Amino acid sequence: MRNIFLSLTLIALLALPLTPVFAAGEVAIYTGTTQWIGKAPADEQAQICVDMLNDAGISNTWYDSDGDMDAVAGWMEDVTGDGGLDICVLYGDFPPTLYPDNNAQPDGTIAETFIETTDGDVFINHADYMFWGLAGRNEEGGLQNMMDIDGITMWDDNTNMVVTSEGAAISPTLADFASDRPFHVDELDGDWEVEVSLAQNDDGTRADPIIVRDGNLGRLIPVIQTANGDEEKGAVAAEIIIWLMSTVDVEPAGKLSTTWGDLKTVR
Amino acid sequence: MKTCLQTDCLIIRKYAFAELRMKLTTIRILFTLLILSLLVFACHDPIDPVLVGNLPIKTITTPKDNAVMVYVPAGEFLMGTSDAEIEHYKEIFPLRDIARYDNERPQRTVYLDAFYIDKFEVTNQQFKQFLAETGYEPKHYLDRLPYNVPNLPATVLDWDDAVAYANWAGKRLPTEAEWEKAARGTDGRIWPWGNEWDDTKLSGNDGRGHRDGYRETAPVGQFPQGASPYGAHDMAGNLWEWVSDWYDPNYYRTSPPNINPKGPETGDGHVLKGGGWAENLDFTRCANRLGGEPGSLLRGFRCVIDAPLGE
Repeated sequence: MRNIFLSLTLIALLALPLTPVFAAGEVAIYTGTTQWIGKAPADEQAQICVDMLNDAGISNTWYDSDGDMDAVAGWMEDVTGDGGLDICVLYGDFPPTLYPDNNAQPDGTIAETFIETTDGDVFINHADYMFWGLAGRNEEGGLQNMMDIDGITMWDDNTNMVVTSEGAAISPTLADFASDRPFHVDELDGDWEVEVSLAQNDDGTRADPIIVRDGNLGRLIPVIQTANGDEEKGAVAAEIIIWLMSTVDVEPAGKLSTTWGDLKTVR
Repeated sequence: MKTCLQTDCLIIRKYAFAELRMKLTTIRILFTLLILSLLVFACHDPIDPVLVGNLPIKTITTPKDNAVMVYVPAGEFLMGTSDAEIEHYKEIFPLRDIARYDNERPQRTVYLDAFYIDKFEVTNQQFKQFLAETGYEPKHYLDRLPYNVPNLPATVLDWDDAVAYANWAGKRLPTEAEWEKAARGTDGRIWPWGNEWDDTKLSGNDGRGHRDGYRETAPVGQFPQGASPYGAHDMAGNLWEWVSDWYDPNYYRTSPPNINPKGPETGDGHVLKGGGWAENLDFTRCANRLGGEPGSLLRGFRCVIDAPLGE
């Protein structure tokens, strides 16, 4: 028995270097509750996203009922810190199973823990203000607590977003549009930095979509945050996910920084 | 030919000059008396005529909430957005999906009875007076910085809270038609001040943040140059404003009544008008309307009362 255990341990140790430190993980899409986009159009966009992810061979689960809030939280706990790059896609609402109502737990929530490991896990958000919550459960506090940046906000309707060269390369579907909740690049603080700005305003202070990362930890990606807009949210999200996942898969860790380093140089 | 000595001519000129001075003095006295009598009349009458722009504005002050209200006379006005305006919007909002203006079409002529509307959005000072006097527990009122400073508009996120205040004050929320007429007058203008966008005339950040000098909402009445034809302030920007109508995006296409319309019987939430401080030229148009789940739109309100018959 002891020999068998030692043999298994040896095999595991030999196999470890062959396993990438970072690997493409899973995608969870939640449309059970939505904000600034109706459930029906959110489901349409989610279906587009799912189809594209399936075609690309990316593992995904679509949670389409408000009864799935607990399941999403369970999924998130399971994948947090598992070594894979996992992505949760929201359509304007922030389920209280991930982040308790009214900022009752500013730190250490399931959602915050998800983006505070070196897996580089991601929240993608469409439509309304990221982490605001239905009926204003969290207001500005949601985003501020998730990023640990006191003053960060996501205002400024109808801000014209022009696709950058990086944005066009990553997401061919992405077109110029007017964002109603652009990311405020000029309010980033701490270790948060811009990895890729896919579309932005004239002076680069507002961006949407944009990938921001907390040092070597998790990422936030607002994608086409518009009030009642019928833009191609699902397709653009899928293209960003496919790009992220393929970048991770080809060459873990090093490839990520190289790619983004190159992109930053181009800019 | 009549001739006169030089001294005689001087006397005549002096006399004529003195007569002219007397006439001028008389005119000055009469003018002063006229102004004084106007002032006395104004002080006696609860209706206080003042001038905003070129239009005479009648105001009253309601005792319960000490709110100044401006008079909107009975008559017709243009409500909604015309096809010609849609063509214009394609140029000034090139990145917007033009379908988003469908809920404002077709434009139509609407008749309204006379009413008074609050000159300013209800402030925190007024809303807290209501809470203190009634013990009412608001469902969702942002009683925290930076929103709850006394002279800032009260950020009242729940429609029921706005209705409760209006009932306490002896008023009501405006219908969407009343709100839109009070904001744009009778000529179908795009913004309260006219048809040209001017970001100095409203509490708004125009997508650039803090441009108007205020981080978020501004104290009420800081942008008098952006007042509506009837003298209502902040009808564009500052806070989105609740009206009494239910929201139905297809309501205008269902031939609604064109005399004192009250909105559909039911709908997807209530209509919000006017845009907020985070908005710019598109959402602050008088005809713009949003409904459904308002999400992160920050909203407040103002009230109306019917004008007495005959006004």
